[in-house]
Amino acid sequence: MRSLNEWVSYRRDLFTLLAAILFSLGLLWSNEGLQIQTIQRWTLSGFGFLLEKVSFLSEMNSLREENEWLRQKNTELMLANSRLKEALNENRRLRELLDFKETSQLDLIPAKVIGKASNSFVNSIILAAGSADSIEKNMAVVTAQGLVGKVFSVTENHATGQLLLDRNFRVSAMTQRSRVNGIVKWREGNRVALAEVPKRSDVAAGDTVITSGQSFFFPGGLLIGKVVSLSESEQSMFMDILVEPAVDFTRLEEVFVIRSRPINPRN
Amino acid sequence: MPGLIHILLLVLSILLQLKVAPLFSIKDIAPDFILIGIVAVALQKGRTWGIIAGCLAGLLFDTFSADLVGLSSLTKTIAAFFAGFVGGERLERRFVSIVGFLFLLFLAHDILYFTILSIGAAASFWKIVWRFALPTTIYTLTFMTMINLVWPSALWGRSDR
Repeated sequence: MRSLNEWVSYRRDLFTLLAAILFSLGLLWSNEGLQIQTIQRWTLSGFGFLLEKVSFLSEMNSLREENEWLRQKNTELMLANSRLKEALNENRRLRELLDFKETSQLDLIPAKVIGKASNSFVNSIILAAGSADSIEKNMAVVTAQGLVGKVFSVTENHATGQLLLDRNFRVSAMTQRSRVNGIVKWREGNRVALAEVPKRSDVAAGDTVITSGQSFFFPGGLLIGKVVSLSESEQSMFMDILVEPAVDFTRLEEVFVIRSRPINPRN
Repeated sequence: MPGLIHILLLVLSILLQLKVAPLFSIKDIAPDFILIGIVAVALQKGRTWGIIAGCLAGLLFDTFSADLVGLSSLTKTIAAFFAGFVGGERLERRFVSIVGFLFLLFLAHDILYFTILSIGAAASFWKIVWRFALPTTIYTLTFMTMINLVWPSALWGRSDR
């Protein structure tokens, strides 16, 4: 027994390594599990608080509140403008329905970005707002420039947001001009692709890409970006469409979480 | 046992990764401050504490990254284990030797990390190496070397284990 203890003690490094590897593999194999969400909530609560405390370093001006108010107004106007453009297109297409009326009530929750976890494949932000501010998982995150991503996990006072540039992010989208539908997903670097668009669809460089509203979580008409290049290959049934996001993800300081999607009274 | 300074070092490295690393991002390549932190702990405290530091710090980053939880934890655990060999004085403590060793260590870590992360992303192995792993390694190593100029004991020093 003593010799076993000595052997274990001698091999302490290897046992620690084995335990840590098994622990990590266990986490990898149970990524959707409740335990993972619990760990995420704990770390988000603990480190979120710390991140918030050190955020004063980045707050260089004393006009933060005014800035926040202006950003919110700007975003509200952008969304209103986007909705108006959508309404105009809708009106053209549905001219005969004179009584058509859409009540779109986008409720914005301001949230400060207190951290960013990013590398070549993973892109997420940490927000200083959580369930106490009525933020829920999967709510859309926007700025005045357009769609940023969605809420990935939430604690009482903090949340993580999965960015448009994250490899796992998907959103149903369409071109604003020709109403061609597709799925926007990350391609590489700072570019996303409008995927699943059949060949010979009416898409051109410079077309604006917006959310289609077909997703349960994203209201329609949110600006995603502009088509920068498109090509077709014989091997694929679909077009290869590259989109440059409207949002500058290197300058995210303040974002807004959309509390509710547009409500259509006839639905 | 790790001292307070090592725990603070790990917390600092996580804060740097979440607050500062995005500011240094070039073409979506950013330095890995957490890797620097855990390697510094492993160099100073040896393999066991390096493994624990790597596992916990990696896990913390994973929980913020909205992706595979356990991946950073796994790769940083392995990196810390091998970094501990230097902590265990198995490598001659010359600056060039250590930097050369760290280059290989960081590269192996980044190749493993990005290879697993890019499964399903239709990227070839060599593209992962040239486009993601090697630039990240060089960037991280550059920062570690600069930190070493300011705090030489991070690479050279060794406290009692």
